[in-house]
Amino acid sequence: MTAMLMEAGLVVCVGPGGVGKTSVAAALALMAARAGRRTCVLTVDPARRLASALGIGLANVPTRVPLQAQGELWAAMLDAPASFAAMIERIAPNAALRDRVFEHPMYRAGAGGLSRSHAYAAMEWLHEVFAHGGYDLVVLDTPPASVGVEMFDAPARLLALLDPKVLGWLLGKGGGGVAGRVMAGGGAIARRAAQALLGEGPWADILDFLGLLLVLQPAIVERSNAMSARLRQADTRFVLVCRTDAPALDDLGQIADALAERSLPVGHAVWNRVPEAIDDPGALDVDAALASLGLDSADDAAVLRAARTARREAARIAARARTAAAQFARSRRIVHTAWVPELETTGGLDDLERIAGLLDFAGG
Amino acid sequence: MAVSDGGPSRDRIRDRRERWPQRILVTGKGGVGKSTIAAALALVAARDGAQPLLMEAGARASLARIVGATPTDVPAPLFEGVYGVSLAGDAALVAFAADVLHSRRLARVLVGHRAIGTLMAAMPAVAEVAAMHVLDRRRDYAPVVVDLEATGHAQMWLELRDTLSPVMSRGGIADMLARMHDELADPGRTALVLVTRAEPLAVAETTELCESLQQPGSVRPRAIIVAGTTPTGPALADIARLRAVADARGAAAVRDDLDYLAREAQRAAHEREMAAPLHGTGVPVLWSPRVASEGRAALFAIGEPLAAALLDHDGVVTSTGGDR
Repeated sequence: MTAMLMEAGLVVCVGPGGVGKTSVAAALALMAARAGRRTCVLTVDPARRLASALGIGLANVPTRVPLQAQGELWAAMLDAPASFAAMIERIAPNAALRDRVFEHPMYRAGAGGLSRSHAYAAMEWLHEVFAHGGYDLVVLDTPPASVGVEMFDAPARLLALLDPKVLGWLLGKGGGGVAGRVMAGGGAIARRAAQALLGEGPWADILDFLGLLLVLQPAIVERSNAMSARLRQADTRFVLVCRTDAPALDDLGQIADALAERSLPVGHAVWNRVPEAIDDPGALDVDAALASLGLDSADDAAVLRAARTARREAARIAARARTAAAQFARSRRIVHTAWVPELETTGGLDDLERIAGLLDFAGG
Repeated sequence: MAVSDGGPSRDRIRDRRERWPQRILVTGKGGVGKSTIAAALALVAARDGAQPLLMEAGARASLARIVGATPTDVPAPLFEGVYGVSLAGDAALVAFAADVLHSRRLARVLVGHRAIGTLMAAMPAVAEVAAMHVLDRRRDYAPVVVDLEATGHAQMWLELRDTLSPVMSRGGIADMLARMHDELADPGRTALVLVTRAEPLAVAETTELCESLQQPGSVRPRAIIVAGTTPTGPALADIARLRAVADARGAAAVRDDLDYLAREAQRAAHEREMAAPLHGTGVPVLWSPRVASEGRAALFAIGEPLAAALLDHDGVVTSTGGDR
């Protein structure tokens, strides 16, 4: 575990929502910081209490987490509009173009609260932290489930759109070559269909905005390429974080498939909130049990029966959870797994300390 | 626990069919049992004689395990009288385009075209607009139970009209978004249900969502459902009394049982404490204990009390258990 944190430059935590992903990401970052690495944890969607525990405000600029003991830990949370604005400030060739982007209705609509824009913003933000942060390790917490995986597609999606041939065709510039001829086939129909679908005004706005993007294209392509490459760099580690119950594991299977499709290898898993293992005591002979206590009331019998039923049920749930998680790891060839039991959490920094203490991957 | 034939009487069922709202939006963090609750409500609605459509906003495998089938991109029978439709991938976009352009073939050309298709895939709001359109068009089903993705995503849905107002202030899409916004904000037509767990972070997120939904014109949640809670068992005093007897008599196995039950009772009490901030939201809190059964029986066991709380008493939701 510590070995992984010592050699990685980027750790990406992926998993369904509600599994404690943000806490695990923060705990991993804390461990790395304790081990002497200058670490930054980037959270995409933290609950306010965790954010305040980490001492991060609403800015997406990392701030230092006040630790009791030694270590340098930084934390930030994504602010999508601010990330977009910062990017445009940096890459716009002049103030006039920058202002045209900022005032464009497409930018105003898109930079706000849409999931796909969040995905773009998160990648851009990660890029910035890498370019200027000087951290030994960055731990990235991702939005839950499919939105989280979509984040990894964001650079490629942008690149596909910013492909000069595609952009050129959309803007009615160029259109030569094989690609141009292919797009021209059925292109007029598709273009008219898109116009009819979205309405003439919005369609004109979109094309106008694409014209602005064309100017920014080289800088965006360079950044997108850099982020795609960063995700595939040798020192990037993907860590699955999940609970062990069936619905969560179902979701995780889908996420793992999506990562595999994108050739993003997963070597580690953290099973969080694992129910405690309980031995199944077998069925209860209620009459015999009552007799052994010298009791005979039906109410007491009901309590004894309820107690055994609850214990057996818990044993069954715990056994099933462990088997399912172990099976998942085996079938996906995940070598390093850590088991974190159910903790009574407070949502504060002390939770992270405890989780960090428990995160010890089998097999290093 | 009441299963299919042990449930409410025929008269009550007939009476209740009319009470299901047009739409139920189910949201909350992933992994809290959202899909299970959506499926359970749809199943009870079908049993009540309504024609429910279960709409999956994301592509999640959990539904396949819960109901044994996966919804397709056009509404089709899913299980037990419940219809299902998926909004995942291009499905919603194709349905949206096909409706507006009056041609499924043209919709496919649009989505499949290298440049136009790429643009559609890259544009931020397209997926949400398409999903909203599908919801707008499915008026032949009621209730339409929408299994929304994570909380933040649900909020994007509910704020879509305002988010897109800079680019879409007029035209067919703007009209549709305005209409849907009004309908989703109308508690008589749409029930927004927030699913959470009795854990500090999940509870905090739910209360934060309730706060942010308090703006005028916004959607007021019909209920908060605390899912997968520890069932309430015998009183702690009775457990302690019997445990003392078992200990004195050396009945080790029975003592261990009672120890376990006492821990569960403590956990149940602790869950109530952790969920306490939910009561400050002013939204009714429904307690949904985990069930031991599986499959259809489990869905009925989960769905029946929730449906009763959501629909009975003339639509006025009362807390079940959470306040006692």
